[in-house]
Amino acid sequence: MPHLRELVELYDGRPFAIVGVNSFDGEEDYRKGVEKYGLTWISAYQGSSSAPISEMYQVQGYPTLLMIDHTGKIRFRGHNLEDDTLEGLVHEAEEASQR
Amino acid sequence: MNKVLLTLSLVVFPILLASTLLGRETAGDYKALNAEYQTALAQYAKAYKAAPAKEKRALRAQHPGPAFWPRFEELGRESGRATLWLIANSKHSGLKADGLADFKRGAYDRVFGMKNNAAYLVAAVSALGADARSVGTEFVESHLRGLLKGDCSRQAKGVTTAKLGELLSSSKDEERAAEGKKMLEKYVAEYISKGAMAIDFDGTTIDGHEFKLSDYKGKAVLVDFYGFW
Repeated sequence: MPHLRELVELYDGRPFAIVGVNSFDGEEDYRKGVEKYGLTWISAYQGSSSAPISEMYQVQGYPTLLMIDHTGKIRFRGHNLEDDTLEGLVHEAEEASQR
Repeated sequence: MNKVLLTLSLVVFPILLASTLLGRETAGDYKALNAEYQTALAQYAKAYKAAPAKEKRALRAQHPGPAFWPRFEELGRESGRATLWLIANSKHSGLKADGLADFKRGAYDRVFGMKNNAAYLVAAVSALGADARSVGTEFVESHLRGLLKGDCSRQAKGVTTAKLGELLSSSKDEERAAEGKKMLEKYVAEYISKGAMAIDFDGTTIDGHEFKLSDYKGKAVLVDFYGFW
């Protein structure tokens, strides 16, 4: 989570977005967590009892990360962030917007 | 207990009264009605949580569901979303076993038969997939197969493929189970794995702001499935 916060600063002004999907936190825990970890990006809140988006993506372990390119294609799926892959995708998105 | 009940009635009944006086509703009013229901529900939940254990049982009779039921029912004649509300909240209908299953089947027929149901089709498919025990697997299968043949969004096709795959793969019939397994594999490969075009999803923030994954097209997007627990 702290690492994600750094990414927001690192890619400030470039075509990059983080979309969080919270699973299974109660409302109180969720609000506390957002405060504690300084979560500033958009995040879906699914409530504590069901997680339809996580189910849709068949998420088995947490965290699960997806990197999606500017066309909507999944280019990475896993549990650990690959900084180089991300940098590559942001670069691709920039190239595409200049074309 | 009286105090709790009183607080609740002071909140719920004026809302009900006010809206009765305002007259008939139309299909466009779903959002407003639902917002009103959510407010009443939150008040109820708060009072319920605060009530001492021995009073909780009596308090349950104050759930706003039954009072809102006829209003969603009225709206449901024209509104698919209101019909989905009725399905999700059918325990407040007062209907029992067979009557309830009949009601749900009729409601699903209506939702899937509606012309402009694209915006809530995915929600309808998810609800139907989870309702097989109540409405019957044949009923679910026939609607899902109908959707796959028909014209709907890629997101709806994907969710339908996953739900039908799940349903069939648990079949005792070998051939059907194999068909289901194949569908599930197709879903995983074409919608949620590396190399696939990511299936779109609808998210709501804790403050009720709605967004879609596809809103971020054109950017590199990091999707983080996480929990604070």
